[in-house]
Amino acid sequence: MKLGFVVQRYGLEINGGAELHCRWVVERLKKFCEVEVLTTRAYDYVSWKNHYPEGEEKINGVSVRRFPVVRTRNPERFGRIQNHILENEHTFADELQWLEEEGPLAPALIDYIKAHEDDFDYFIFFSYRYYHSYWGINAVAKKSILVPTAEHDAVIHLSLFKDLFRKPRALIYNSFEERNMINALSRNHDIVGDVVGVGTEIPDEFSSDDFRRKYGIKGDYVIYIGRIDENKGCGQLFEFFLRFKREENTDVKLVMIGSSKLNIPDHPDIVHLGFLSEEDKFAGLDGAQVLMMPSFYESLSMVTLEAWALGKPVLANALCEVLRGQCLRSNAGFYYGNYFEFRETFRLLLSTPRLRDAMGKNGKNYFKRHYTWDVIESKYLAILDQLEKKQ
Amino acid sequence: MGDKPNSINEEIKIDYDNIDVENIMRQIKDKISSQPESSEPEQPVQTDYFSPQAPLPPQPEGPPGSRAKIKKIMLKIFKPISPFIKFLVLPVHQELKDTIQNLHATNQRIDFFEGRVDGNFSQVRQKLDEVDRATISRLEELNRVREYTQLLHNLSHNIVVELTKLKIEQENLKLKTRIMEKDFEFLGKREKALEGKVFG
Repeated sequence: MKLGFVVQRYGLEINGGAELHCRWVVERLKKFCEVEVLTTRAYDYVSWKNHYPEGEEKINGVSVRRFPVVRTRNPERFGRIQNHILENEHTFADELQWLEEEGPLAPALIDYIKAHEDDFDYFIFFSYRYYHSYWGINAVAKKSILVPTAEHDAVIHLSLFKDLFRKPRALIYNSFEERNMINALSRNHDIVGDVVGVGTEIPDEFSSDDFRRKYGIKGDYVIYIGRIDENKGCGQLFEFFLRFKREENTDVKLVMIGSSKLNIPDHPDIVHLGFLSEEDKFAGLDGAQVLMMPSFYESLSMVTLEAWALGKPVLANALCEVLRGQCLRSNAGFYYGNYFEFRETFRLLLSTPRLRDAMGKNGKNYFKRHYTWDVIESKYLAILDQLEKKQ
Repeated sequence: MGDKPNSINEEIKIDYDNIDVENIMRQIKDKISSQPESSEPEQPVQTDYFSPQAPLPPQPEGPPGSRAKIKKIMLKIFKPISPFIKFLVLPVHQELKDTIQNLHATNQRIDFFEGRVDGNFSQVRQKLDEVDRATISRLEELNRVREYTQLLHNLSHNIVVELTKLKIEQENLKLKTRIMEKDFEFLGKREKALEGKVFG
C-alpha cells in the first residue's frame, strides 16, 4: 500500500503543530506501508515564502517531494479579506478568494496529486484550513483521508469547510471535542472516523538536576512550554500568576520555555529561558510541579500529553474545550475559567504533593492507554483496513 | 512545598486512590460561589447604591461624643483663624487620613469589581456557547430546508420538462392521426373508384 501525506510544510526544523504531527506519523507508518510526503517549499507559516529547494529529497528515510508556492501571502490583504468574510454577508467566491490568500498557493502540488492519483492508495491530508487540503481533497476525494487538526475558531464555520468535511473517505480526529464540533457543523457522522491524536518522542536521557544547574533555577517551579503569545493565553497567565503571588505567601516560580511574541513581566519569579533543545525541555518539565496550559484554542496540545507521559499534572484553561475534556477524561489536570478558579486549583496543586502524584499517575496511565505509538499506529492501520474492506 | 494543612485541603474531599477531577472541580466551584467576595474584607453594611458584595466607601468616623463636642466648641472659638489652623495642623492631617481612607475604599471596590468581571466572564462564555449551539442547530435546520427547497425546485423543473415533452408528443400524434385520417379517406375513395371499375 502506498500512502501520500499532504501537508503545508515539512522539515526537521519545524518543531510543532500539524507539521510535526504529520512528520511523526509518517516516520511511524513507513514500516507498514510505502510513504511519500507531498508538500510545499515553504518554511515560514505567515508568508509561505519558498525556502526549501524544489524537487525530491529524503528526510529520515522518507521521500519528500516539494512544490513551489507561486504567491506569498500578503498579511494586510489577507486580514482585510478575512475580516470581510467573517463579519459580512459574502459569497462562496469570496470564501474561495480567502482560501487562496490563506495559502500556501501551490497549484503544482494539486496538479501532481491529480496526475498521480493512480500511484497512491490513499492521500492523507493534514490541516483542513489550507489550500492544499481543500483542493487536494476535491481532486481525489475517493482516496482522501483528512486529519483536520481543527480548533474552535471562526473560519471553521465557512460554508467551504462544511462541504469539505463530507468529502473524504475518512477523518482522523485529535480529540472527541474536535469530532463533535465537526460532526455538528457538517453532519458527517456517516463518514469513517476515529479519535487518534499523536504520540510523542521522549529523549532517552535528560536530568532535571542538570537543568536546574544549567539555568540556575532554585526551589519549586511550574512550567509553561510553547509559543509565548497572547493567543496562547500567556498574558492572562502572567496576570493570574502575579496576582496569586501577591495574595499567597509562596516562592513558586513560573518557568517559561519558548520563543516570545509578548512582553514578559519583569519579575524575579518569572523566568524566561527562550527556545530550548528537546532534552532540556523534557528535563525542565520533569523537574516542574505542574504544567501550565493557558491556551484558549488547542486541537490536541502535544505538550500536555508530554507532561502526562512524564507523570506531571496539568493546569489548563477551561475555555479550551479540548483541554477541559482531556483533563476530565484523564483525571490528570485541573482547569480554570477565571482568577478565583485559578487561585484555588493552583493552590491545591502546589500544597498537596500527594494529589500531584496521584494525578501524575493518572496522566501516565491515560497517555499509555491512548497516546503511545503502538496505539496510534494500530488506530491508523485499523482505519486503512476499514476503508479497504469497504472497497 | 509540603503537604501542609490549609483551608482548601480541609474543605475539599479528595479520594487519592481514585481521583475524580470533575468532583473536585465541583467542590472548588461551590466553595468559590459560596464566598464570592472571599478576597475582600468583610463589609457588614448594605446600601441601595452599592451591591451587597461591594466594599463600601468609608463612613464618617465615630459617634458624636464629648470629644466631638469639645472639637465643635474649639472650632467655633478658633473660627476667625480657622483657615490658618486648617492649613497648619489637625485638619490637614484629618483630610489626608480621609483621602487615604477614600482611596483605600475605592481600591477595594475596584478589586471587587475586577473579581466580579472575572467571575462573570465564564458565565458570559457559557451563554455565548449556548447561543453558538443554538445558532448551529438553527443553521442546520435552515440547511435542511434549503436542501428540501432545492429538491422541490429540481422536481418542478423536471415535471415542466416532462410535460413539455408530452405536449410535443401529443402534437405529433395529433398530426399523425390527421394524416392517417386523410390517408384513410383517400383509401376509401380509391376503394369506391376501384369497386366502380370492377363491378360497374
